[in-house]
Amino acid sequence: MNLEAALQTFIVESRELLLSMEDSLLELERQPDDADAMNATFRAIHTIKGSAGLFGLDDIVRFTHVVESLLDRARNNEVPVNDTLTALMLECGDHIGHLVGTAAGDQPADPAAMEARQAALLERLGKFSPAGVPEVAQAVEAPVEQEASLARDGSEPVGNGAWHISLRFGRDVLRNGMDPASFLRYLSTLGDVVSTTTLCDAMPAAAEMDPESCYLGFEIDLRSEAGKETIEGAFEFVREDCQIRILPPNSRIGEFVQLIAALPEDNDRIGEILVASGAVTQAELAHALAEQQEAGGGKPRVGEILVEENVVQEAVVQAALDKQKQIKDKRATENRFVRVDAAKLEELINQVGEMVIAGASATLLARRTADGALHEAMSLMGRLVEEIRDCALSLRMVEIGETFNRFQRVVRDVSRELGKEIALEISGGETELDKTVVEKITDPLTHLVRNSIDHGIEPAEVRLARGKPANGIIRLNAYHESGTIVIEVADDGGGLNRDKILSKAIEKGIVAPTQALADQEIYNLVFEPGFSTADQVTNLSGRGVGMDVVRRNIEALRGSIDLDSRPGEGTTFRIRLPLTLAIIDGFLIEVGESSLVVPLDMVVECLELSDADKQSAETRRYLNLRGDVLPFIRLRELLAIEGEPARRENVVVVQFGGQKAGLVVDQLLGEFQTVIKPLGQVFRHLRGISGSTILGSGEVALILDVPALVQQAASRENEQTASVMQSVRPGMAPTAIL
Amino acid sequence: MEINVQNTNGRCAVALGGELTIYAAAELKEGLIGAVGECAEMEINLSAVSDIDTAGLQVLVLAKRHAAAANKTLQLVGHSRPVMELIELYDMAALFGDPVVIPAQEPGRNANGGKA
Amino acid sequence: MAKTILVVDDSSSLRQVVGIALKGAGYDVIEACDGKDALGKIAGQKVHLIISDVNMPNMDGITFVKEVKKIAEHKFVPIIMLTTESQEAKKQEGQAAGAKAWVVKPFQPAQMLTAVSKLVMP
Repeated sequence: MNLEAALQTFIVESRELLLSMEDSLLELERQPDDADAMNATFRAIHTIKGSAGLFGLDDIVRFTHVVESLLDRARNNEVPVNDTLTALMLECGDHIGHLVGTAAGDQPADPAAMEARQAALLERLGKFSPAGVPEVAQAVEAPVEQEASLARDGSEPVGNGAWHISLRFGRDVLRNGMDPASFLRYLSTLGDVVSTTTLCDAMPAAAEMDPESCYLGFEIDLRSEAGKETIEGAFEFVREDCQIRILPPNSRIGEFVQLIAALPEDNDRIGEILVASGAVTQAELAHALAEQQEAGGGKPRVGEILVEENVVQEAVVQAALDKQKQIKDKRATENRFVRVDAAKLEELINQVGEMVIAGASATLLARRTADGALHEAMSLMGRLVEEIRDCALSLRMVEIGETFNRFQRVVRDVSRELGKEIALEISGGETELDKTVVEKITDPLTHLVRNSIDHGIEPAEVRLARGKPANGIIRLNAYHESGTIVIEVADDGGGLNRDKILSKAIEKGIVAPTQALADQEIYNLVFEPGFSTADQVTNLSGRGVGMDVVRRNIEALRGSIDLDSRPGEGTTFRIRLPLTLAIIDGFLIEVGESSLVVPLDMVVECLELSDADKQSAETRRYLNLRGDVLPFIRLRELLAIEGEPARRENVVVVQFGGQKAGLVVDQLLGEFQTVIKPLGQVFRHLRGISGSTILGSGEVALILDVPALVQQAASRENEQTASVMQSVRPGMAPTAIL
Repeated sequence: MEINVQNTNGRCAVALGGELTIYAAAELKEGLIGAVGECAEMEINLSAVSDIDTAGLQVLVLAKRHAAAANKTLQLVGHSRPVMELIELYDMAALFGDPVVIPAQEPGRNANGGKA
Repeated sequence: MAKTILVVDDSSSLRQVVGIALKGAGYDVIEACDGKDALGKIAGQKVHLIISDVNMPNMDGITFVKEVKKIAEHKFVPIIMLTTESQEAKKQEGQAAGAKAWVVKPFQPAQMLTAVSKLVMP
């Protein structure tokens, strides 16, 4: 006999049951109080549902479940048996017949009509349900054990890796046919029973001993990858009259603690946090809560009960308490918040932007007059506008911590997938940045973190061989630095392989074999398009998304990325992003007739270009800044602005990412609040310009892309390097770009 | 279950056979406790035991204790496979302390057919 | 010696599928279509486990369990009742009668095997 034959039996049987149900229903129409007919009807549906489940015929199970529930209530006189009910049941019977036919392989004449009929029937059935809402049957759940999240990729638990199971069987278990031996045998299918201690102390002397009672207790150490629910499940049939304590292995404490930290913050009940982490089962919690209820008056805390009863270790409860506090704190803060539609905020910021421009225009006009009182009023106004601007912008600022915290889960899941033990350390979570930036930074960050897990952190054996702890660490850090936010993704892995990167870059034609490059420059080649060092394409990082995409995404945010790497010590990726994308404090300069804006945060100082420098500048591309070499760029040349340089030229010293450069300009016009307007699509390819703004006079000023300029100046300092930069980033060629 | 007690000058040889399960537990208890009362020294042969469950094993533990309390020796010998398996599952060899069970960890056990 | 399991259900297809699963796992299986049929089939027959439906014609599952508990050579046999979520009262009744294990219908063969192996290994 095989399953196919059994299915045929099911079909024949179901048809017979439906026929007999029809008879019973007709009987019920004549005799609504005929209990036998009612039972027969119920049984027919009940049997079809039960058997259909065995064959995985979920459609039939779902539909018959609804019918069965109604019949059950009719049987218990909760629903009157009348013509409406029997008529509906007859139709349902017909429909089930069709469903069975479909299962038998008959093509339904009109599947759409069949679905419509089912929907109509369900609606009519729903009218009988207590709340008037159609009952939706749960899908038949496949017997998939939901333990995967706790499994450990088959890695051998280290040290004290055994579950401790303490059992005291009830006196009646043997009489009920439940032999402790069978549960122990079943346990051994879940893992490796390391030790069993059988306790007979409960057994009385011969005279009082009832040979059919059970007096045994057991202390068992089980090494198993199974979760607590599964282990507890071994005793599901005796749980009610036995004492069962399942203590997770000490080696899992860390895992539970980590899991608890990574839980979503939607539940602040200690017990439920513990259950969600898998450290405590639903049944254990129910028991502890009942105990707490019993204790009455000076109620002990659930956590204390659980620890006392050896259900879970104290450290795990402590982690749950911390989590609870964190959630409560967060709730408390959340309660002080007002939810505002993002569009309204956007609108406000736009209007503040317009106000800033209008304010600048008014100030310009005021300057033309000699009205002292007006000047004073305008200056006060200016200060208020500035404050309003800052306030408006800060409305959009959010802490990056929440984004960082999401990576707990990523690190846990990905490292597990790869069989690595990796901890995530977070710092600087309170650092704020613009919400729109936060949203856009998540993807690049995810990529970097995954990359660090996959390629950065070495396998445990390699780490141990290198004298490092087996557990790797990934650090996420954020801080503010001169008007930008810096986000670091660091690992304590093996570091980048300089030679491998170089040879790969040469092979891919990214650099010429003869070029001499500093280590730093070589490392940063990984951001070049088409570069990937992984020999092995893994599931994680081998998705065709390379570091070049990460860089592109970050540059699209007016940010930059670079990396530091030390062989054997690890790699640090450093992302620099502007704090906001909307309004900045600018520094207005002039070259010829053109007004240009440099973000003020990046301006270090301004100096006059001395005659000596002017002369030497003819031959070399750097100035002497109090003994330091300062590469510089003549904006007039760079932007191909016509006309002779002013007699007295100035140098604006700008800084980005630890590098300085000088921009030679004609005139310094001073600070200026700049509302950034994105460049049109046509100008997207421009390097050196990041946006535009409107001056109070209505004129357009271009905003300089300082990071790009600094990089360019640095590269031009050394002609050889400069040629590399040209080949690497064609868009940055130091030719006229306007 | 079969229980056969032979008392030779205060030395009891008990042969147990068949199924030592809960169905026979009462009878088994009566038989063994009774036998302990009538002898100074007792040996229970388990070689014909075809099946044993926790109830049966409990009675053996009871008999052992009962004998010890009366300062009598009680030895289990000739453990059949089902008996050995259950004792191993419960890790009770030490509790019984019978020499036949302890060498069960030696190769001799495997010669007797080994563990399933 | 293989362990023997009695499967009592009025659905012959359910008996067949459960039978296939149990035999595949190494058990011997006896099938019966209701309580009365089952009582007849286990007379003088050693059974290690009974799986029984509640709703059956002729003799329902609860009555059947009560009868089994009266038979000296079967009174300690473990019994798995097949219940549905809507039958909490029936489950209580079954437990009181002595059927301490239950599996909720509808189930899949693997779920039944897991439940069975907690009580009797093949």
